[in-house]
Amino acid sequence: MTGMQEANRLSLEKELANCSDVLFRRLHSAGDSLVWVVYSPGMIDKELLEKCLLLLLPAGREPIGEDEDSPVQAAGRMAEVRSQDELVSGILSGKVAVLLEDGRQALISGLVKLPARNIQEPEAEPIVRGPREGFIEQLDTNMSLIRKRLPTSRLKMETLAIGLYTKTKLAIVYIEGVAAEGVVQEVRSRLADIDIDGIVDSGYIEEFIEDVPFTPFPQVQHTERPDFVTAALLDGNVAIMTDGSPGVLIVPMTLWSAVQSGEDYYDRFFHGTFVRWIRLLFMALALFLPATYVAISTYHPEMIPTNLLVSLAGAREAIPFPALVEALLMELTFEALREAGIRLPKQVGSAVSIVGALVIGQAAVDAGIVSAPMVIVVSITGIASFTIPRFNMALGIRVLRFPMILLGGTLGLFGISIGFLGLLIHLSSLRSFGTAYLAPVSPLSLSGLKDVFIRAPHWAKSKRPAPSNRRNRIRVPGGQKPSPNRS
Amino acid sequence: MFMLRRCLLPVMLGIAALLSAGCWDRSEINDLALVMATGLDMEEDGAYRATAQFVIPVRQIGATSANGSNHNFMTESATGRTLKETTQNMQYKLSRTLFVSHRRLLVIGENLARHGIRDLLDYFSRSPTTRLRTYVLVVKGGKGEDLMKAEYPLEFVPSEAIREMENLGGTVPITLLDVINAASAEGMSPVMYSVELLRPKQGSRNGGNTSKFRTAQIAVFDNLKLIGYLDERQSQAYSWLTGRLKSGLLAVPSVPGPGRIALSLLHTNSRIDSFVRDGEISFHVHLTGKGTVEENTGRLDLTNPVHVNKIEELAAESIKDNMLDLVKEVQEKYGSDILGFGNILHRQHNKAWQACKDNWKQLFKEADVRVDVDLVIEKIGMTGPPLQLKEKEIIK
Repeated sequence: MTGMQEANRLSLEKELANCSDVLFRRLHSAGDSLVWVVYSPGMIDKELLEKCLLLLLPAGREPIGEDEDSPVQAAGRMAEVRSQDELVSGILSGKVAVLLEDGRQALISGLVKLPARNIQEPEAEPIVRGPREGFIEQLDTNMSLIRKRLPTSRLKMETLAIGLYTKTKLAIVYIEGVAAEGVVQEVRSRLADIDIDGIVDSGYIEEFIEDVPFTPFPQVQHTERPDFVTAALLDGNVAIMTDGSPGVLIVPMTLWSAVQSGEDYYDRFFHGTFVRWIRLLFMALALFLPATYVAISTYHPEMIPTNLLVSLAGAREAIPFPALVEALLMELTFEALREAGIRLPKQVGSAVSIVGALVIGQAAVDAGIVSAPMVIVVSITGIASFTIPRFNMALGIRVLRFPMILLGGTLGLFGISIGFLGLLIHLSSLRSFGTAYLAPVSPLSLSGLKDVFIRAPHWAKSKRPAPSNRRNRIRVPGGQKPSPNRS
Repeated sequence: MFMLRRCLLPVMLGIAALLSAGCWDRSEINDLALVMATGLDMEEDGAYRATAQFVIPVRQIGATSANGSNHNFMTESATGRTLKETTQNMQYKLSRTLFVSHRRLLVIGENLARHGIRDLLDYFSRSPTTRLRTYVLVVKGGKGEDLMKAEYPLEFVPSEAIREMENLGGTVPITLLDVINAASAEGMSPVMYSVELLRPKQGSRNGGNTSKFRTAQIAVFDNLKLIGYLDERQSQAYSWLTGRLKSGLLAVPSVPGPGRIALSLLHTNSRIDSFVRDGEISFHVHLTGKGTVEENTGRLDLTNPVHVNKIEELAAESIKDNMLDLVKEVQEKYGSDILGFGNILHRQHNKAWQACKDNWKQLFKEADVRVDVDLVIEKIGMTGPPLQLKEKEIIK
């Protein structure tokens, strides 16, 4: 009998050779039988383990089995396993393996305590009013953040594992009967098709499941906010959670989700609507302002109001570069500053922004390298690109600005029109999990418009948007508009 | 790889197209000579002389040197047989490309205006860079060149001062488009507002705060040649008749008693009806408007409607006199239908117009014109009687 336990241990040690994070502990139970306990100390609750072992070791106990009364069962759910593969993967995911003298092997699964950070407000998506929780890197914590907001059996979370080595757990989250079954099925099949050695972040998943890869426009939403995911699920969207990543993917995505922030729905709807328009305006500015400035000042100066033209001409008097070069120079500098600001440690970051503001601002103007109006244009563009709540959309727009500047600088407003038309054609050809990218504007859906150019009050948003389940569209029954006479 | 290769060709072609076809008319705004105004004159030998006023942009943004002798504008002039030739000759003298798209003022010297402006208009309407909204003015008794060279420190370029005066002047300014429209219309002659260059008196301090231009009077054209000017009251009547009066001033005696009452006119309108009876053509001019009492040097208490009605009557009478005076002056002295009566006839009685249009010049002079005025005083200001008067001095 002892030989069998020894053989098991040896083959396990062989497989886990050079895995110094795995500990093999040799214990004697009260009945003088030898027990091996194998675990990875960093991934378990050590105190609980010691308690378990105290319960496990006294003789006369049947340590392994489905016995409900067993104290070990109560403390740490033990189950017998037969294959070594299962044992290894169990140990490496934080379970405790027990090897008995009679050759039986078991895994205690209730002691897992993986390193995790606390739930914090997501730094990339700050809001003023609303819940401050953010997802973390633990899938089960993230799932519970959603589950506690939607304590209904209709909320489904299907898990699967992807990645040859990482065996990353993924959860497809949706509300049955609210999400369209077709979209859920599409998500399932696209995820099932992924074959990769490892998933490090949800960004990997995004690239595998998006409809069109060669486009600057993201087709999958990305958030770290549980409240945002909850709202998306209630809209009939499907969320994909990835273990090890706080970023949750939401499909489908439309262009207009770029101007929707979770906070719009918490603040008063007047403000929500106003902010939508600000974002739309500045999204357009972020894309077209430098290009338009270059185009108008080099090809169509007759369009500039006379007094402004005189000021612009005066400001440009000593500038050695053409407006096109000036714009590219400044935009590139700005992008470099932005990138440096993100990459540098926080303590140094503020220094960069001060130096950057001085360099691209005052000093460059004083030195006559760039004109003051160009600095203004670039600053407005920079601010504008930060007004877009969806970060991945802002990235796309930032990149598109450069071809726009080139078009504006070579063909004038004509070039910008061409660029805009090309963009429009491209956008209308995009689909995200069966939903047109420009929906509900094109194809037009009047009820869908209540959440695009305006943020309708919640009592007026009676229907869910188009990608949701067709048979269950009513979200808010009518007649709930508040009034003082309502009883 | 396939994707890359498939994209490469269109991208390369696109870049090549952009680089070869684009940029051809590119010009940086600091390589433009911004023409703010042009003065046109006629030389002794019949050639055109154009004088352009350019803004010096760098002087506009606070870089002016302290001694103040630096102008913030520059003028250049050139001559030529045609306007295009003149422009070309001017370009030869300039380091930057002539840019007339922002020209807001065109002044025509009296010499040239008397010679006729028919040949000028084509160039301005044919060239896509000229704004048809450019204001056109005649320099009364002077040359466009002198006007272009005159200084006016209050505005960023002197021509801007003339333009702003035109805007403030209480009348809708006359643009190139208006001139072209009037010139091509049936039974109508164009007019232009005029500007006068007031030379500083000998010995007076240079650059004092005296205005150096004055705009007001209307220049009358016949067959696109300048033939004379209307005086100020006639000009106001003309503006009212043609719907160009935005605001105006009228003084009437304060009856009974001494003093005068100044009214400002607002919401002025006019309607002209034409009548053809037994071959006799007559016009009925109907003027309406609203007045506000701005000043009362008499002793009337204007809260009394009787007084106000009386003033309304007097004002209407005065307006009517002005209008009849204008009509008489135009009919008898100039004989040019700047009032557009022929045009009214053309619209209202086309048959009669067709019959008489060849002879219109004569018939216009003989046409009978009646005027009636409907003026309502809407506001009398903050007080009824002048506040400084004692109770017994006020005429209630």
